[in-house]
Amino acid sequence: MPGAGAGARVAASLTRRRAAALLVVAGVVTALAVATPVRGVVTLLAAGDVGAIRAWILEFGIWAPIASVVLMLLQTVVAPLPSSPVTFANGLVFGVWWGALLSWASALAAAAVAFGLSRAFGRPVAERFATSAALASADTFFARWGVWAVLVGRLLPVVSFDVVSYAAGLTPMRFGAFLLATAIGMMPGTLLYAWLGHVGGTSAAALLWTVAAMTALGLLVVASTPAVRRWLATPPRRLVNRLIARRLNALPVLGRLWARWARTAARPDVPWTELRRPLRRCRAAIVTTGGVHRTDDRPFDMTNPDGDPSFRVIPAAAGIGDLTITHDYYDHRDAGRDLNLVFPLERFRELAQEGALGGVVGSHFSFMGHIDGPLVGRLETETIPELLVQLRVDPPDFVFLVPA
Amino acid sequence: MSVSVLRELTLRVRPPRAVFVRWPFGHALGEPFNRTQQRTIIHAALTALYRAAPGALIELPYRWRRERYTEPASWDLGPATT
Repeated sequence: MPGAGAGARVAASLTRRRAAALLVVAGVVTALAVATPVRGVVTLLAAGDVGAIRAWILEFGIWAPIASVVLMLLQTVVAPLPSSPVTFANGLVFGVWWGALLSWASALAAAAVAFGLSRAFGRPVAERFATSAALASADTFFARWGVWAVLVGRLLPVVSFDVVSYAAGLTPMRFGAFLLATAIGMMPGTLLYAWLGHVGGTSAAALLWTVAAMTALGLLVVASTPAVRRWLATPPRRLVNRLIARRLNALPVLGRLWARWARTAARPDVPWTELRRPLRRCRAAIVTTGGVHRTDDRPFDMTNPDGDPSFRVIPAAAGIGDLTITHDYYDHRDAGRDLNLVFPLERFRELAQEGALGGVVGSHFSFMGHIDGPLVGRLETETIPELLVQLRVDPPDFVFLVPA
Repeated sequence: MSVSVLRELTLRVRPPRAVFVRWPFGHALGEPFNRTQQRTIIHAALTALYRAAPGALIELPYRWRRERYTEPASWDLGPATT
């Protein structure tokens, strides 16, 4: 297999090249760390003394902007040093606008370096620059929010700038998207910090306002993300219903109380047919009240407070991934993960495959269990007769009813 | 044949046969991905399908998570055939 051999050789040479590059980076970082002047700067950064940083930058005369950029890059590679003292100092030295611009550009470069480092060398190297615990929590954040995580991370003053850059490098995120989100997300913070540095960096009220403004901005962005927008667009009544449903799960006694009040069809007798066939020759139909339906089918009506008396047909061949739940009146977070809790079609198909059950019929049926007021009448006079007609098309030996 | 999580309601509706579990709403067959637990309840329900008296509500003894579920011994339910 010459192709496989060539592939292995390419992979090996890539690994060697990466290892060589890693050695160079490690060497440079170590050299920098042991060099006395750099050690002094690291101590300076770690102390976060804005006055001292300002003095250090000013020592370089016309090279002061370059010195500031070096500081910013250094604080990224020597995590967990904070970047805000450098931004403050830039505000002090260069004024609000120039200071902000310089901080913004150099922090952007630093973010690119951090992203590049973790993208090129992977997690073990990223963990050398940022702690593994911080990266792990960032992973969850990124999995959920994607590139929005970068934007939000840049806006919220409590999120570490460098951890976001290193963590982003570990995700499949595009470099361009990362850089754009960073560039936009940094703008307000950098301006505010530069201004804060300019006004002296000592005013407690100014600091408080800055942090408050940044947090408010961050929350504003969080509120504009698609997931939160969907949540905000949900009518309050539906949110209340879902909240009540979750409480009902936590306090079963409430559910039993509800059952006492719930309207039910009065039945003096029990309908009865003896089942004479063995299970291995019976075909089953499943009927659920769990609000299950095909994703491409019409969802149950959640706008009518009385509910929805209609039902949905679910073909026996439907994949679990083709189904979803629309039902605000019970906590279906678990059932959403495993539909078998309320609609055990997979379990029944298994039994049929094992030969324990004769089979399942072609169509199964799902209701949304909240039906109240005038709709109870419609359920009895329209929906149930319709269900019976459909059941007769491919009649099962028994119907398995599962509630929500 | 019905699984029930609300005893009072099922007794009023009176399905031909029912098994009852004192479990949270939305969890009639148990916990997500606990296949053995789900099969245990289905097995109990299908056993009742053949053995329960009309209108009976059979209370199952399973205590939600504090239970070791084992695969039902035999699915050979119903009258014997030759």
